[in-house]
Amino acid sequence: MGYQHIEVELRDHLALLWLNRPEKLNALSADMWDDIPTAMGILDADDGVRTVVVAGRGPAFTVGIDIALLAGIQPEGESQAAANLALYHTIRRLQRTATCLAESPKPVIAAIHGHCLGAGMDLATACDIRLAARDATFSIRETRMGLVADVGTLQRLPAIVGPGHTAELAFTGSDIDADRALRIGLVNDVFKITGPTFARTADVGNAVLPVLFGRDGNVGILIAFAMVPIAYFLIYRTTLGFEIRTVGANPSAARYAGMSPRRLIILTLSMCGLFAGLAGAIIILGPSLGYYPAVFGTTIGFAGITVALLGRSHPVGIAFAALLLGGMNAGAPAMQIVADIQREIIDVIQGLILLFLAMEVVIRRVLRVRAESIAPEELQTVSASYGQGSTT
Amino acid sequence: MDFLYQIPVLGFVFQIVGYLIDAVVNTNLAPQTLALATPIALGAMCGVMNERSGVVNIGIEGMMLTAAFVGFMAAVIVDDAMPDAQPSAFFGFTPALLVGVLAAIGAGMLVSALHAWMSISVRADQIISGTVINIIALGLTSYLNRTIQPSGSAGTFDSFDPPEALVDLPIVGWIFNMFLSQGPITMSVIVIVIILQVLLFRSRWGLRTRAVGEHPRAADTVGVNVFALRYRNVILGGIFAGLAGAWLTLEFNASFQNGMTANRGFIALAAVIFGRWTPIGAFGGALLFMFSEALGVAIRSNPPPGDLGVWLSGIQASYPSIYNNSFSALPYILTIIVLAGVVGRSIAPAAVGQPYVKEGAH
Repeated sequence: MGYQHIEVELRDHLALLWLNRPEKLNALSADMWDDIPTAMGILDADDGVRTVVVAGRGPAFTVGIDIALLAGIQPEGESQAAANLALYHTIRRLQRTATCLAESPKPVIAAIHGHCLGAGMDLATACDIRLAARDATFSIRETRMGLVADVGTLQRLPAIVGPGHTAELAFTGSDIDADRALRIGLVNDVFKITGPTFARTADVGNAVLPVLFGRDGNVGILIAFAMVPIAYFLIYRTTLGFEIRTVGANPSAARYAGMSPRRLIILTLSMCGLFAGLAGAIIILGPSLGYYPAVFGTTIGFAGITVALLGRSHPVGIAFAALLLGGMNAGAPAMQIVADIQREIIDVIQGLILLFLAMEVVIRRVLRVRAESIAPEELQTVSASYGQGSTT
Repeated sequence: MDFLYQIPVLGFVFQIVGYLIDAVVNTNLAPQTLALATPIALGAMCGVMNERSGVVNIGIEGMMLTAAFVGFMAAVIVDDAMPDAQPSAFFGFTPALLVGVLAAIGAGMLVSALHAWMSISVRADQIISGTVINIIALGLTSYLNRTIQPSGSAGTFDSFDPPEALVDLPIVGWIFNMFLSQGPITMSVIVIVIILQVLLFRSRWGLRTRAVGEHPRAADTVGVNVFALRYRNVILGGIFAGLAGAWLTLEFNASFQNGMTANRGFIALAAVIFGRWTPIGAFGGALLFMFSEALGVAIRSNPPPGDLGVWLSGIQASYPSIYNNSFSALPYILTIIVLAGVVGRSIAPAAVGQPYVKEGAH
């Protein structure tokens, strides 16, 4: 569909209305205010759609109206009255966006994670049902900016949480967390996971890995690092590992020594599948995902190749390389928000690290670092056995 | 025909064959397949050029992506500078599009030159070099795209309109439709594949290239300059990757999206292996792969009639998500079957992936 910052995804009878502007934490831009009613109009008329879920892509549901947009709707006009009238029409137009959710003939569910601030409350309160992730925070943020929450929150919230809580939220503009939101009835339920809540399939349900620290520090990390000594022991301390290394270094020699390269390669690849499967399980059951998206893990797979190359195909080296790349990826959103540097630059940096690794010889020469000279025949390369298969 | 369809069990096979023939002859399936196969085939030509001369290139994806971005940007800039240029009747050529294609080819060659330098002179690991190119190309083009946010577009090439009389010919009309209702880049692919096939196996250059890929030392002994030939082939291979990129943003789409190559470069590599490192074979692989993909879409949007259709829609009603996704998996399943069963063992050029070191010169 031709929307710029929202996205409509149809899954059988369920329609997902995504706020899709993750780089700005889904701050509602002018086109989003306009596109939501358009999209809802289409969904309302579609008899195949039975339920609509509103959710946000990226780290938050939405942080509210785009401040840039807010600055642009300062009242202007020939007279004070004309200016106020223009502002009134603007507000009515914004209200339409929340109202279209409330007036939809279909059940509309807000799936909230991360921040749900300001205009986010307008959208959420206009939905029939609100479900939240553990990391959700709510706030009538308009108060703190000297504005009135005039797009629907103040009218709809009392019916949901009662006048007392509404007054507190509206007067103080303070943030409340998911627990408080559940207690006062703002949300119907809070899920154990963080991140987008809605799309978990029934099979996964609440079966997520327990969190040990922070937001995403789950047991999967322990499992992954437990694999490091296991892989090390397997490769360097067992007969099987010796055979695998021999086949990798020289299949012909291995065959003369009575090993079967074909059997060993099949066995090794099966074990690789074991590790890859473990990775998939940790991604799916990790608290920040907890559902099965159509495409996932391909970028992680390629990052895995990078990590293996960076760690020089050694389990311990790989552990450090994985921490490095993981840290860079985890820091990328913060870098974008704090320093306004596009996160894609992280890919470039990772590529450059690999590049320097590959150009070790050149860099040694430039920096005049002495190293034992290696005969060309002994140059060990990953690509040496590319495409040659087993020479049986 | 109906009585054939009624035969138990065997009738099913006839129905499938009948549906396939109908889809190829009477629908847009054939031209669509050729168009979609274009970037794969071009990427595969880049792969053949590289690997035949003994250089592994898994960076085709990155080369295509860079070329797509550079070509698009160049076209947009020229288009902004000369908004009055009218598209010519010949494929809708405009100066902007022409500059875009040239820029894309240039970008492809430049990235290839980097790969050549890394793998031939620096003797870096060629797999790492390719991975580096893929990662940096994805990151840098996405970064620049976000930062520059190019507005507007230079449009796309028009496809050729073959005369009605040819297309409407019975039995063979669809072949003309397939090869002639295409844009200029798609049409050039067929020429490129044939020329490359002939050159590789019937010319002095081809013999030398294959020798360098199989046994560089032997080639060096008889006076072939291994380094120069590898450099030349890798950089020339970049032309094809560049053309594939140009197809993405100047013929198929009129815009650039982050990561828009969508693994086409890797599929091209599979096509190279599929075609046993020959241009024609790789082209066939690309066609087969994209045919199964286009067929998957066609079956879902336009299910076959008769028993077969009833049977399929029964499955669709009971298991909708399995049904839909299994057609997306069709190209991959088909590739595995063909690779494992029909093609048999494919043997790479012997020296592929090994940097060449002149004797006594390290």
